[in-house]
Amino acid sequence: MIFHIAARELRTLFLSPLAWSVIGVVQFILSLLFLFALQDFLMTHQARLHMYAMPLGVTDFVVAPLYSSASIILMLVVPLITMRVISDERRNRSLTLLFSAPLSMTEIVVGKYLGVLAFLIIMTLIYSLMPLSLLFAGSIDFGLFFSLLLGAILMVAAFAAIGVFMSSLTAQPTIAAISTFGVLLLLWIFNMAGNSPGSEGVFNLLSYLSMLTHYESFSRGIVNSTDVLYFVIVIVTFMVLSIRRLDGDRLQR
Amino acid sequence: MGIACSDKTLFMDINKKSRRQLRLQSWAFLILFLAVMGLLATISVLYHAEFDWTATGRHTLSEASIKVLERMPEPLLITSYQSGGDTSPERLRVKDLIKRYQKHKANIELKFVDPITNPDIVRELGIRMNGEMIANYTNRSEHITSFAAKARTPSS
Repeated sequence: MIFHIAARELRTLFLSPLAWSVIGVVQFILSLLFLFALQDFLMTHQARLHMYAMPLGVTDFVVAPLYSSASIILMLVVPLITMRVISDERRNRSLTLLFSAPLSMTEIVVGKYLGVLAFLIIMTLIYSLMPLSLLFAGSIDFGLFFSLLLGAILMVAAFAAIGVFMSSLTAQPTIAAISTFGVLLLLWIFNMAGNSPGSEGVFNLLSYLSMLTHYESFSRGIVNSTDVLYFVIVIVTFMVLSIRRLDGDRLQR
Repeated sequence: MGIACSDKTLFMDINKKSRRQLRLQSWAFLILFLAVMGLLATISVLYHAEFDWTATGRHTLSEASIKVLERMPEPLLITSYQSGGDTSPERLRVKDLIKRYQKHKANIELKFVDPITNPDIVRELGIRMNGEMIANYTNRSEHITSFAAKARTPSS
């Protein structure tokens, strides 16, 4: 049943022009950035790497920055995709219909989440074709590539979970979008407190909460269980919170 | 838990009292749930496994380096003359690098001295650049000037 809802959500996304234009715009910007990074690598870094015999390569200079820029662009884009997931149902008064369907709240929320996640993963895979195109000209570090891909997918999954939760709070899609963006940006910049003087305990807490800290090790090719679990914890937390929120609605009507 | 409860409550009439109870219950759930997630996060920080997926194993020490460390039973003190706060990115990078060695040799101690606020020590020890490190082993000491070069040796 969950997959029925997920498939329906995915189909609705692709029926609207929003999804297509988002994929188009993201792909366009990322391919430009990819091109610039590649040119920069060929013109300057390659010769220097050869000279100093550094164990770095095209994956470090072109592919890793591509995923870093993608994560920042997606931070802006994911709120737009998730904003109407639940708030639209509330606005169109179809939420009551959904409540009366023989579905548990978990199935509804998780189904909708999986639909959005499928869309975001498709988008990630599309721009991941660019690094793979480098295979025509040479080899890439597949370990680092898969670490980057895993990091990127975990990150959009966390973005989407937060977006779905924000969408469950309000009937206005724009408010859901802007508050999702606020939360994502906040989680992103938390670790900037590290530059200001403060106790180490506070810093460690803030830097644990910051998504940037956890994404950073993926971008260096290190897969750490703490980082993977961080994203899993974020996803589970916001899923459960949205389920609780809708459950509360079902009762108090 | 939440869903099972709410399905049952659909059959009872909701009055002021039951509503207050429900609210109390949902707050209790929220607090407990967040506490459990916090606990999970703490456990995941305390017990973790790390895998280096890079093709060259760039973030892992080579066999040769590990053997050298094994031949050094005495405690090793590394003093890094790196400016910045305890949590500045520069110092964190140094900590990260040393942590790689600490995994194989537990008695490596890392100490930071700010060269900008301690010019006397800097002059006395002949430290020429920010980020220089001095390693003390038994009664010998060595300057490590090129951070990048040292960072690269493990993989070669």
